[in-house]
Amino acid sequence: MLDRKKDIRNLSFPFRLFVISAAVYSLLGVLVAGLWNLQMVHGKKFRTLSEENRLKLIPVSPPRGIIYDRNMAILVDNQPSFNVGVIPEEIDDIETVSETLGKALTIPAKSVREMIAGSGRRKFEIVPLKKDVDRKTATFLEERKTIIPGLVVQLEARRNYVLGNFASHLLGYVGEISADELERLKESGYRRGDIIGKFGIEKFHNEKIMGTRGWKWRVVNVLGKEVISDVPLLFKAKEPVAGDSVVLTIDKNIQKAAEDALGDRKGAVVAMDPRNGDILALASSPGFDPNIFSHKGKGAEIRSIFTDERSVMMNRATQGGYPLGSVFKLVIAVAALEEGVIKPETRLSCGGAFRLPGGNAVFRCWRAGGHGSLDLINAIKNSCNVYFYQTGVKLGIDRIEKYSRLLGFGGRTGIDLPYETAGFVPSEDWKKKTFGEKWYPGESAVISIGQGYLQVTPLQVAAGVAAIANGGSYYRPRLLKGVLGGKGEVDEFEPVVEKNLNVSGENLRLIREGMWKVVNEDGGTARKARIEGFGVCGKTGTAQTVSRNSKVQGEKRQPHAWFAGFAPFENPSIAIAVFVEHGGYGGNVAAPIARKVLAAALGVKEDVVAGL
Amino acid sequence: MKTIRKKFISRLDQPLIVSVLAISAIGVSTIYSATHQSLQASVSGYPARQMIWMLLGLSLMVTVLFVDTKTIRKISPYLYPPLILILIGVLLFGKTSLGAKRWFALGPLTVQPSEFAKIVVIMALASYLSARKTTVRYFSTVIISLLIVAVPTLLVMKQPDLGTAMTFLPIFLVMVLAAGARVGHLVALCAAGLSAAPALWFMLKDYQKSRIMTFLNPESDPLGSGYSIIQSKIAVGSGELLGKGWMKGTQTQLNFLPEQYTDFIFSAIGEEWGFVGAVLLILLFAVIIARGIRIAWKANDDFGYLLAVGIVALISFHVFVNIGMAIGFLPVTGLPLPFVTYGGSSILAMMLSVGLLLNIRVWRD
Repeated sequence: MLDRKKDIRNLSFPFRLFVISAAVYSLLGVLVAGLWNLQMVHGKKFRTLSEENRLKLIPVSPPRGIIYDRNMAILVDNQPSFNVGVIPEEIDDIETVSETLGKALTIPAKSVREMIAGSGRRKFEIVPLKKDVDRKTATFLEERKTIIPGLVVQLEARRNYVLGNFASHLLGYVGEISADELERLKESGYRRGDIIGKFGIEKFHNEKIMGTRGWKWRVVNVLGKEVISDVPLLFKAKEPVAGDSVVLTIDKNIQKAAEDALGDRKGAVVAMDPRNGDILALASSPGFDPNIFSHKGKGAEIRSIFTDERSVMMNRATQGGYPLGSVFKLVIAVAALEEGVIKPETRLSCGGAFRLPGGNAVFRCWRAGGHGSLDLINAIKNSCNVYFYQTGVKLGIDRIEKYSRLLGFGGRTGIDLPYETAGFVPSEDWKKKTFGEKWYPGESAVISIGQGYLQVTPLQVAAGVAAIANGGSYYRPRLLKGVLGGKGEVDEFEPVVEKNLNVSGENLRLIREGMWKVVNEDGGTARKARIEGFGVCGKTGTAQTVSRNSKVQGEKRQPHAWFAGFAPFENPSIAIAVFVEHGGYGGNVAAPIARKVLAAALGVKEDVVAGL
Repeated sequence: MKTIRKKFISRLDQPLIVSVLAISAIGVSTIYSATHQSLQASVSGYPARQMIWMLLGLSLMVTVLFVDTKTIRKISPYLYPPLILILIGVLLFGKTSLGAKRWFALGPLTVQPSEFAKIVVIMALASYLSARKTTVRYFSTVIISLLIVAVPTLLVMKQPDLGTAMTFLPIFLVMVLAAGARVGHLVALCAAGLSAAPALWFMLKDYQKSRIMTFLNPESDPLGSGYSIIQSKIAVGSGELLGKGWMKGTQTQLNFLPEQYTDFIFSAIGEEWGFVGAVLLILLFAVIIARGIRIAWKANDDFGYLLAVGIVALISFHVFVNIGMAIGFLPVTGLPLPFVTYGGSSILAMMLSVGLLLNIRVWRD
């Protein structure tokens, strides 16, 4: 046992232990030196800070970026808003103060007293009494601050949607970050109390628009009163960094025309520039006024639009999947020409009805007597069902699915808005998995006229038509034209070509001709979209929503009205999709809406439009 | 019997015991000061709870004294596998709080296994190295020692608890150095470790990265992680020479300090007891460390020697990191100040380690 001690000493253990001890004691020495520095060298400074002057850190919200339309018209900016509160520790006479403030803020004095007396706060914290007070009251109270010790009037920026109920789903709204969102976003630097976008572009581009929080040190004395201190502050303030201001692709005038044309009806309009994917207008009706989310005390209004049975908060242009009706015939036309199932001169016969070989079901055309013998262009012009039943059945569901997806259906377009839905394109696989049945040719017929399982969004329709209009480039629809740089110049983004359709230009041209006839020739289904001299082209759709023997009554029996088109015929500069929920016939209801919007876009005089 | 008992008692290292008790008393009274005005109801019971943990810790300390050091040495390796299992267990079954899984909830109590892991690793390492007196010069022994330490370290890092995981490394280095490893080997290991550091940086979670960034410049984030450091410096600095007096520390009383009864308890001591009080506390720790080194020096066998060295390293490291953090000298890590920071597991583990120190001396023959 005792020998071990000798062993220990032999291996230079004493030295090692000495080194370790020295190291440890040096560390302790470093600590003492640090304490000396903090407490003796700088002690007085800290003492002053902590006792006579207390530092409180006030976060300063960054100004949110302004949202402009493509012509720099302001759509969303920030306005000053006043909040009134008190610091209870500073109040000398609670009764009088409650009376005075209660009167000024139109709150019962009793409630004011209760709020002041409430517990559960840190000392010297401000108790908010009323937010978003009008300027007059704020000035009135601010002037009386010296005789109401403890009163605090704070200036805050409020998000202001300049035109009220205008492009509401597209712009979105802002609000305080919720507990759930905070949980998810904490790692990215968000804090409790941050104002973030909750919907629309405000949400999608929140990172850009929000800016960076700043802070300032507020020096208060032992009574909690803010003082101008000449004690040099040891810690610097930081200016908040304003969020980026953004320029949208939206044109205010076209958007207004779209919203006016839709009026009170439920539906959506999407207008897009087929040359670059710019969204010129994206309207969903009914809309709401996003300002109610920025103002305080609008709880009732907010609740009512969320519970409104007309689904006010839904962006029908991007969040709703609907049957498309005859507009879908354009997809069948593209597929048929590309696959060689139909040639431009192929004539098929329509006698008013179509029967599958060996089948019992009868598929009718909308024209009881039939259209006679038609080629493709005229089949489009007249929207002949039978022509497309036959063509669709020949194509088969696999090819129909392929071209549907090619033209952007069944998938998200990637527009910069949250909650976009992909719609739905059926397939044989899907049917087998879901219903355990194979796909029947009759179902191909049904789909060819845009009925059946197919579900599309108005945005998808606009983007698809745009690709047909520009000769085969599918652009990603986009809302952000650019970001405002420091000197007022706009940093523009490049348009994105999502894909090339790789479809023959000749075939697309043929279809465009058909679409021209739909609007401009007698017998075409969309004469109500015609603007003399402007070469409007399009396709109507009237999508049945209930079966003939359904028990549904009233408005919901009505079919959806659709119109999809572009103008002018040569070098189209605008593509459009109009959707009116349970609106009736496409040609009657959707086409005139399209005309009004196209007129605004093409700069057609008001009286010319009215005269048509 | 009586003479044995007398010998036993006379061999209890009194300065060590007195220092521990004194520090603990300072701890409880500071916790009282920091919590008695708190708005949280749950927190007001903390001083009492801390005292209960202390008593439990003391009884643990006494219990350990009855076990022969040799026996302790024999069972040390057998503690290691269960520890690994428990550390894995806490990852799977632990309670999650503030994004970390470090605790087991046993009814009203929470147990933090990583605190005990430190002791077990020291014991296991001491046991391993003491049996390899001649082979410690070989690199392989060093590597195996590293592995013994690395496994718990990684498990703790996964919780994630970077602060605690960091403590294993210096303990390893000190113990292996004390055991006689070649300095060259250790230098090589450190160099390898440093070169791997950039890769480790990417493995850190965002908040850990920001803690380090904020440490380098607290003013860059005064609302977040910088806040604690700034407020702590104000608290400590404002204590000046004699402090503001017990329960009169304004930063503490007004709750400017976050976590003021746990991580930043030293800030409260600095504010209320001043330079004099803070240095006194450090001196008390210095006494513990000095006695520990003496026990190591006079230890019978390698196991006792290494065990003592490991425990000295453990306590020193905690003191240095915790106080260093409170004076703005080191990043915020969440390491407890031994015997002072509120926390049952920490108190028990530290009391146990002191018990082991006493044990080495008492059973020396």
